[in-house]
Amino acid sequence: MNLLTITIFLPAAGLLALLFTKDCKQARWIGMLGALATFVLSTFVLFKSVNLDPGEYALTADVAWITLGKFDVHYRIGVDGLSGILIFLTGLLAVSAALASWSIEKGTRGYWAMFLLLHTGIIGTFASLDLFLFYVFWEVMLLPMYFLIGVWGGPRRIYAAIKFFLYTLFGSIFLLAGILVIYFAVTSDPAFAAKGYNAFSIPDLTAYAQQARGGGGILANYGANAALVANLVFWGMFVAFAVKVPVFPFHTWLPDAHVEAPTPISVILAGILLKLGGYGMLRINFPFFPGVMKDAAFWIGLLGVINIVYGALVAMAQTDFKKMVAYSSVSHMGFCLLGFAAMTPEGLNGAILQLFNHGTISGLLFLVVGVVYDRAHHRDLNRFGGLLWKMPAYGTIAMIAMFASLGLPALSGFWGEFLAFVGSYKTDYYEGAKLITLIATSGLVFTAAYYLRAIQRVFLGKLNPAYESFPDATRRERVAMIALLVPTIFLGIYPKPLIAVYQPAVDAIRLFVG
Amino acid sequence: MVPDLGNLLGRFGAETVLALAIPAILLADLVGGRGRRGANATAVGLLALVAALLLVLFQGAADGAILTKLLVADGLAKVFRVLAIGTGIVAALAALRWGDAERGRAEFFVCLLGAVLGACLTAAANDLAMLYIAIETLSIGGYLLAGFRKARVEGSEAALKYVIFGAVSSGAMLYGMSLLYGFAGTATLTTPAGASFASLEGASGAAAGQPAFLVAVVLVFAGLAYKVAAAPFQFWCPDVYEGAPTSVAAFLAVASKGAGFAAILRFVGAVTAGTTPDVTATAGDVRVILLVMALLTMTVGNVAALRQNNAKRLLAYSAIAHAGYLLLGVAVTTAEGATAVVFYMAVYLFMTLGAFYMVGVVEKETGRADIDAFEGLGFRAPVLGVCMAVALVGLTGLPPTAGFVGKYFLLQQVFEYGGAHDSMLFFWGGVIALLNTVVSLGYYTRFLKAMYLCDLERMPKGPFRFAGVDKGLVVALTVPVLVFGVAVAGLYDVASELARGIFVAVGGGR
Repeated sequence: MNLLTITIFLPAAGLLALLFTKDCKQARWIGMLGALATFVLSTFVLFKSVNLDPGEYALTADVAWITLGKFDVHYRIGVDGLSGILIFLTGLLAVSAALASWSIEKGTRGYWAMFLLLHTGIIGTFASLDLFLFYVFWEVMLLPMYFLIGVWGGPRRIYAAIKFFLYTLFGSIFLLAGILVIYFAVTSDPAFAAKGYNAFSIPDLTAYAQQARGGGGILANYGANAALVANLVFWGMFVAFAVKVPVFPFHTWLPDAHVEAPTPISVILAGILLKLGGYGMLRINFPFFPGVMKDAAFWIGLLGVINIVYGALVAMAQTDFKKMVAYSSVSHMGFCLLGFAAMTPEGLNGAILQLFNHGTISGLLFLVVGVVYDRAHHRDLNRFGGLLWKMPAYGTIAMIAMFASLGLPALSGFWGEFLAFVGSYKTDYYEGAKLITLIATSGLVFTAAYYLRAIQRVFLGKLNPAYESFPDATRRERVAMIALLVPTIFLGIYPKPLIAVYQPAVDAIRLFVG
Repeated sequence: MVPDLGNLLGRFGAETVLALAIPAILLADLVGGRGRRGANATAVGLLALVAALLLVLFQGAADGAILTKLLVADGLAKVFRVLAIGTGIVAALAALRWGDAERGRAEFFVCLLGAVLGACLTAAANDLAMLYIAIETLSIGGYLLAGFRKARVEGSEAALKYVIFGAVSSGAMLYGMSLLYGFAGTATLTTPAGASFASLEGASGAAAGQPAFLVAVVLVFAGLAYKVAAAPFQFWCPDVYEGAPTSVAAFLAVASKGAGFAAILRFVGAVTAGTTPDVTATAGDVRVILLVMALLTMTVGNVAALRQNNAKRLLAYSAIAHAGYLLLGVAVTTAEGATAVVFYMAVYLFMTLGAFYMVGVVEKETGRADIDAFEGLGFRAPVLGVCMAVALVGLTGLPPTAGFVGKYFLLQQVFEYGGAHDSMLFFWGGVIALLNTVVSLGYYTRFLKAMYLCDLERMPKGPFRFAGVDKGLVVALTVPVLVFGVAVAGLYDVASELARGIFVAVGGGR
């Protein structure tokens, strides 16, 4: 059996095992084992995805699923460097999040069932090479997330859960519309059929899109309105992914979801779910519509800058620790957009590095917030102080995480931002990139400001006597945080191995830039 | 033509059984002592329904033969008859479980079998007069069933509203039919020779060439739209579903709607078939009217459902919205569109019957039918919770359920039509239909919220009985929603086979 298939469905198999558990302790261990096994398998997947040629996929499987004449949906999966590192990130965060889930007491079996189902959805989405399958996995993620926030979240969990659900579904219907339009346009296109391409195959559609075909691109056969429809579909799909990233102005679900979600779910939300947006853009949005992308680049770059600066400014205004971290995610995902829009090797490299590194760093930051919240039962930045003296190990990890997030050199957050800036500054893919990049750099100042202030308020200064009795991070908490701290430091010093894994994928994306 | 009795009975044995069972039920009720009152009638009624189902499934040849000019035995007729009888069986079981028929089981079964008979004939009618009579048979059964709990004020109100709206719309339909008869010179929708109704010549020239032909078609739509609860003829629907016994509401939401769609498919197929300029122009107008009606219906249904607190009212608006989605498949007037309608109708049966059945169970246990009655049920009755969640996710149209695939096929037709005919109207229509899915999530999740997101401490205590027949039926209705979400091709091939012959002769046009 295909290793990737096992990786996708192993968490779901854990779901079946949960049916036979008797108490929460067993459920917890099954969940933990599921997460560990996912991590081990995802490591194998990562090793299989190195040294591929551009456009080549490893661990592929291709089984016909729904065959109705032209309507030919396959269970088509595979990994390249890009999906390989993101699946690995999923496995890594699964373990950290599982450790942080240890204290979940209410409805334990249900919690772990949703936790595992969520991972099947996530890994399936990264592994899909068939549009229909991609959409199915994409939507399979929604319901578990809704329950995880809605049942196990904070006081305003119901509002946050439904908001998350509605926003994400709102986005994904445009993805569905795009899939429907693409299906008709290419199946009625004799040139497409002559090449033996499949209307749902992502590699086939990518290859077809790169053979220049007038205003409508792959939609050239969608009648007289092809050019208009191509623009609509491009931006529709962009909205689908932008909601997940999240791109301003579709970001408002994120602070609510993050603040209300339990710590481990925030970790997964920030660490993985946001990456799915960026991944979707790189895998589907841009390669399918190279013609439209050229015109859209400026606007995407502009949205990136808005994300960076606006996210940082709003983060600066927060007094809630978790909300601050949530808005910092909005800000940091802006660098990905900036790098995407540039379409230079440096820009794309930076953006993808940022996808991975933001995954570990923001996951780590949410764990940091979780630790202090478990002890203080509030997250008000102004009521802490001097925790570093009381909790030295915790304080050190937390400060490293924050420095990594603000982009200090020698920590992993630096490289993504740096490369994105370089790539964006020197691109000639669209007009006005230099100005946009210069404005974006101001975001760095604001970011430094809010993190340094947070460090000062929480960890330095006078110890609040009420927190005199706080124990340092427990062994379980330390393991969860260190699991994410190691790649943060390692990739800060030596990011080359990671870049080498996904470099072919960058080359493949850049094929259409020419 | 001398009607060949053997052929007729061979293909319409089910209807014969149902028609004979009606007097048999009344007779059976007279036989036997007071203690057994109703038991005989129940037995005969259930037996007749099961026999009819088996007859349609295994005996009725679906070869497209037209019998006595009035009925056609094609795949479309077969699938919608199976659907109507199957729904009748579930509704009968539900009514017996919940005591909806306690005022008189014999009377209940007579009305139910009458309605099922009407639904079967509607699905097979190939003649305007036959169609009218069949729809009236279905409706009268429905009126009586809706008001069956005479002691309840809402029940009587529901029945009265149903009758009044029904009378107005069937009046309009009858008027339209009489005009059509005048234009075409015949009431037969499809002649055995396959000639199109629209291109038949009446008093002066082909029917579709007459200026008022379209008006007459729209008048017939009024009657059919009432039957499927499509806007702007949907006003009766929430009140009737709320006031009627839940078993009856489920029957109306599935069997009655299904029969209506069979008739709509057949009627639209007949009036749009042909390649002359007159016919194609008319067909183009009909498509636009149907698309607008579809979008209006789903939007009205979904937006109104957001504000409902009564589970039955909410499901009524959801049923209205689904009539809108189904109309999309009719609006494109292609064989694939008809296939998508049949496919979705089959899926809709499982999802809606399941949801109504679970509302009925909750109503019986808690005595309430508002959404708050579902509070904490995900934990108190886990199987019911999961089944309800599956039905709701299916109704929303999310994978991996069959509801998603069904909606996908319907929308695919809309976007294909938009591309093939350069119609941005259909393109945007598809987008509006998709946006409606998001709106519908807003109210379907209210069940999920009540069942799972409640305060565990404040959850009602005490046992919630959900076992035996109820549990078995609900699970049996839920499993296909998941199975057909993955094993799609099998069901689609069947649907495509059954819908063959509808819209084959439709020409191009706008």
